[in-house]
Amino acid sequence: MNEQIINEPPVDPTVLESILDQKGREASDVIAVLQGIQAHYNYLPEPALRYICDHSAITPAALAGVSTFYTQFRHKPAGRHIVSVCVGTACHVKGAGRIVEALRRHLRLEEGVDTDGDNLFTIQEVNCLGCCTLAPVVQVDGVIYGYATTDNVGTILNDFLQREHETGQPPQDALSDSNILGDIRVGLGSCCVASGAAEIADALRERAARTGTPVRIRQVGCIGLCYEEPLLEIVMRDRPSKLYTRVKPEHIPAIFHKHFPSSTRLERFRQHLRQWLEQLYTDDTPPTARHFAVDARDPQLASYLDPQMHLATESSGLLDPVSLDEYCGAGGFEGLVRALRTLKPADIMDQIEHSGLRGRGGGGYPTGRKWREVAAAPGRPKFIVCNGDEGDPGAFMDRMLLESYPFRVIEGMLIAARAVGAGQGFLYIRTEYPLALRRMEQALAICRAGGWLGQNIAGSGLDFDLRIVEGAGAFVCGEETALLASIEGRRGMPRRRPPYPSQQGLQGCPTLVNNTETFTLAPWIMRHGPAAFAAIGTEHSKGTKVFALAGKISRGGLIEVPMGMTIRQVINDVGGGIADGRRLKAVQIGGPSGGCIPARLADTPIDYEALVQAGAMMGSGGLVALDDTDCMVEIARYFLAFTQHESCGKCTFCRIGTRRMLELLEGLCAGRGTRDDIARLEQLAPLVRQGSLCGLGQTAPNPALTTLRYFREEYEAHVQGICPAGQCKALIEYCVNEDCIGCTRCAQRCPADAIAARPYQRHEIDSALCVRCDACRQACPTGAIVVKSGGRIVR
Amino acid sequence: MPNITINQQPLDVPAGTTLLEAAQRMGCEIPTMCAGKGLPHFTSCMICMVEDIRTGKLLPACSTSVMEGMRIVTDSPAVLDSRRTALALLLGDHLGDCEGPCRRACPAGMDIPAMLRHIAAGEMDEARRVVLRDIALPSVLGRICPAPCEKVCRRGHHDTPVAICRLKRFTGDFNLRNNLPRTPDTTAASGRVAVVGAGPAGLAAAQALRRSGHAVTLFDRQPVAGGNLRHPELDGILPHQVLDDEINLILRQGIELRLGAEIGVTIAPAQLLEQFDLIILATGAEDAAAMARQWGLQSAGEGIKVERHTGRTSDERVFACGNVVRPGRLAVRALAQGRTAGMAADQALRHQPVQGRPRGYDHRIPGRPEPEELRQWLQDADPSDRVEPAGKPADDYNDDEARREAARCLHCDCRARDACKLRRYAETYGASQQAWRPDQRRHYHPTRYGQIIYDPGKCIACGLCIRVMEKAQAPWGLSFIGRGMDVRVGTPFNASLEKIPAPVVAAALAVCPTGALTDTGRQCHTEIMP
Repeated sequence: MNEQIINEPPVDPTVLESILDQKGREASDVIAVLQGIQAHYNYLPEPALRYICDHSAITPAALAGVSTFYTQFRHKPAGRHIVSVCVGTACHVKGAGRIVEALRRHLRLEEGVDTDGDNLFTIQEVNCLGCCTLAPVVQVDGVIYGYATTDNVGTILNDFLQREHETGQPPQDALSDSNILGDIRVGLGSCCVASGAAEIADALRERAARTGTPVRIRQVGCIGLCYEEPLLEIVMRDRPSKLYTRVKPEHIPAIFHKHFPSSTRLERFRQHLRQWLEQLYTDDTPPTARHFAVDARDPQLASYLDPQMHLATESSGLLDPVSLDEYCGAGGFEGLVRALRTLKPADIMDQIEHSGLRGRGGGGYPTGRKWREVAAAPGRPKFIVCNGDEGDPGAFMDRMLLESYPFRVIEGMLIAARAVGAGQGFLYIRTEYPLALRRMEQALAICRAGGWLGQNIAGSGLDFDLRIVEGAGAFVCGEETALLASIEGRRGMPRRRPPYPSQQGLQGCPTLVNNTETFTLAPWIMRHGPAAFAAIGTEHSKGTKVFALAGKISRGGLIEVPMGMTIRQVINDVGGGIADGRRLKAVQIGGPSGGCIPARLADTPIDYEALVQAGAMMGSGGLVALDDTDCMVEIARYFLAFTQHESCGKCTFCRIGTRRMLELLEGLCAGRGTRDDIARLEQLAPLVRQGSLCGLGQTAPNPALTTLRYFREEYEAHVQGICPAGQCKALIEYCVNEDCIGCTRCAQRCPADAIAARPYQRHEIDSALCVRCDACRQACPTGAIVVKSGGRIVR
Repeated sequence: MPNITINQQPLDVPAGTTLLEAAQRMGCEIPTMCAGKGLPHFTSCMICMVEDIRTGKLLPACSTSVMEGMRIVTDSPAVLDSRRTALALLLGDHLGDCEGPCRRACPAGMDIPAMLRHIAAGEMDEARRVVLRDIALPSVLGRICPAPCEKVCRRGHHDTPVAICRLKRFTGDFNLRNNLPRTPDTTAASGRVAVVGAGPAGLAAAQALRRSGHAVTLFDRQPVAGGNLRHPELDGILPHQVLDDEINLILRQGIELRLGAEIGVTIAPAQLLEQFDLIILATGAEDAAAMARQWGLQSAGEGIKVERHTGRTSDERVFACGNVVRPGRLAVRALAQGRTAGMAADQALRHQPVQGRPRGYDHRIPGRPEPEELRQWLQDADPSDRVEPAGKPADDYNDDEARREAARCLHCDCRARDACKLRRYAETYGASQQAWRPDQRRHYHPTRYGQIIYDPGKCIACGLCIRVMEKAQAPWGLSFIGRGMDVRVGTPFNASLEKIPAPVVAAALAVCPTGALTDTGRQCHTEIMP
């Protein structure tokens, strides 16, 4: 076959040269170079790729292999804007699938097409945007929209286009520190920004500028109260601070006025006049600040925060993430200094070992032992790698830690570097976390400038520097050997261990790979001593664990709880129980590698061994609560679909075995399943577990195995054609009962014209046309629309 | 040196040796598809699993080094289950036919594709050998066979099936014309066998046994050999000359023929059993009941009861084949049964397991081919419709016509059918293509690089070809494209293979464990009888 004729426009060599200059020309720079090209062209034009081959050490073969491995890369032009629908676990259980369908209907996309006719929007599904508490989440280019519904997808796209027209940067606040009245802290983690925190910050700046009030408006990291976002905290000198939740820009004047009354009589008058005018022209009374104030003694908030322990997330909500001064002011780098000045590397490892710290990435390997192995391994140089490739759908711990505590991650890595004798480190961060990447970049620059990175750190003789490597969309790169391959610029395919990276890692040299959370705990241990850490937790699981609590929970967010706390305590005491008065059915813990622990085992403690015994695993810390409207067969299908999609395709059991398992589950959800299919699933699952090469394949059957173990009756119901939770589209139908008042709202909302509007009469749903989008049921004011499966009302 | 055992045998190998190498050194072959000599291990096929019985863990032998204390077992039930499942998963995902549908449909299992390829290449002597290996009377059958092979020929989905039967006749006639002597296999321990009945089944059985070196005496009560082949129905279709010539060719191998010998009249069963080591009954339908009675054999239906694949009767010294077992009209079936019984008898005489004709694993494409798949196959075949013989005698091809007609074969059987590791292991471990078949089958959609074809349906993603290229540092070499279930092998920008040194390409072709990467320019030969 001849080479394909190139009919793409020529590319600009100066652009490509500048990308190469910036990203590098070595074979290992291939992923960064491709990211640079895609950032510029929105896809990878073939002429650009050919140019790269001719002007760098990157070979055509490597380019072909790498550019088709990572899902970030597109080989065809996309629309002007990328609409990413998060299909992570939390979004999935809140109907992300219906959002995708609604968007596709809205843009009139035909089967197999992902870009609309005007080339404006390209729809794609992404595994997790890490904004689980705002589920379902849609991201348009850089803008995140939470709480999407099948109804508001059009509004989201329109809003985005409107924003596109707006220009101008938010005004810089030019206040000097000397006479400030106080701090206004706005949470600016990804999910806060998504819930509107940036607008709040803008409104505050605008307000401060207009009133001439000397306040400092500060961005702070995530405080974990994601369910109450956006958050705003007012900290005044000599006065108790005040926390406002679920703030909207229109509330700002009132809040602002309450704490910083205008200094001039005229300004005060203007304010009253404006409020009076607003009252005249709007229906609703403008909300006063009181509505939104959450007193720290609020029993709800106290119960959310009290059971928690902040070690990895120490000083949560108090620090400007990229202020080195604040970090140091809160005890930052004290642990490192202690490690550098008073401890020998062996002592550091002793302390880590005595603390009982185990890897927080999921497996729970003793951290001290791993450090020792790297330290003892022959070969130089040695590397350390922070694994921030948090790909689990439904987990955002790494994102939050990297966004809010970049210095702590760096400190932890410095301690490790000292202990194992490494001179170079890498931070592998998902490309889906742009804010984390930006913050970390800033933090690294600040540390270099401040002497915390580079030569002779803190006068200790330690030389160490860090580099960020941006992931490109491959869950499997969370597996350490795949991650190392990715850092080396290869396809992220795992290899057989041993040799472990601690013996042969990057460039064949000893390499320490730890999860982000593991590194962030090291400074605490150095500062407070191993005994303090070991005093927390259970016999074999010490310290705390950060979880992303999401799903059908009243108060979701990022939490850090002591090991040993039971799942029930996490759900009820921290999470405030199940939302909407529903019943807890199960907790999905550990993501696609973990399992579903049923409500009756909710007293299982957070403990590596206890979770494994229950069929789940700690995983990296996604904790998704499921209620009685969640179908467990469908949940198993969802996770298998995820792992199957993320399988690198290397080994037989994972590549083909998980596909066959997925097909069996799809058949069950589609009403084609038989008893024999359940048996086949049970036959194949253990073989895939024992026969797969890496952790991804070995744990892929877990969601299916645990649901089979605890919810077998649901599988059997599916064989009978019944989905007891009313989720599986092929097994349910929507019906209108006698409570219908004929308001026609359902008919207006139906996207498929399955309901004819008949005012004041009982409506009917044409099951053949119905797409089961649930819009009618949500719209019905009288609860007259029910879901039936097998002739029985299930929802 | 680590203290380890493999299958209870202590081992003396240096640290760093893989379990695969260690086992090899002690003469224990562990199956593997993704490991290649001189190439880094990859651990993808997962066929090489062994069990460390201390932990009960399965370990891939190709990439696990020997470690102190290991107690390795290479064939535990868990190992075999895992291996069989891995193979079944690969087979379920595999698209292709080991053997062409024609060969499968042929009761005698004649290697039709090989015959066609040899005819097309003008290699008539090879074509003759291929045919005679399975068919004792090709010229005869070439005139009377209803050709079940042609009914399933995939070419028929496009235009007209390849004229297989006529080409077989062409080959048989070539054989008769050239009157080539055949030398029996002389390596054999010689047994004495009586074949009763000189119809197609008896002749085929006699030929098979003689070829294996046994002393064969062929009995028939008629004054002339041929049995039902001399039925008046065949007058005008099958010239007596052709039949006589072809029978003579068989007899000339050194078979003693006793005509006018009727069992129970001129010769008693007891006598035969005394004079011969084994008896093969091929007396035809009308004698079935009498035969069973005379020989004291169990009956089934209208014939003598036999084991399905061997023709062995309730008396282990007596075999039966042809219409005496079950009446039928297909000469080729009688012939196939005769040959099978002959092979089974040979196995019995050699004190080997009696299996009859060995049938290897045979993967098949389910269902009808799609138009696009046919289009792909047609690219490797002569595009014109069936060649009709133009000259005299009518119905006979001349050399050129035969070559052109044979070149119409789509070569839909696998180019690696005799070398494929997947096929071999599927047979060894009893893996089936049905166990884990997909919801929807794949489609034949190869990538062509000139003469070289990459067929993703047969690729097991072992990456051996890629590692060959990486080792040779070929920048334009093959690499994996895509990932997960969609992973395949390809060149960057779909470039041709010309940018890769020819020896590197040849090496990549050589390491492919299946028929995924093949050269259409190279003939696929099969082992041929002398």
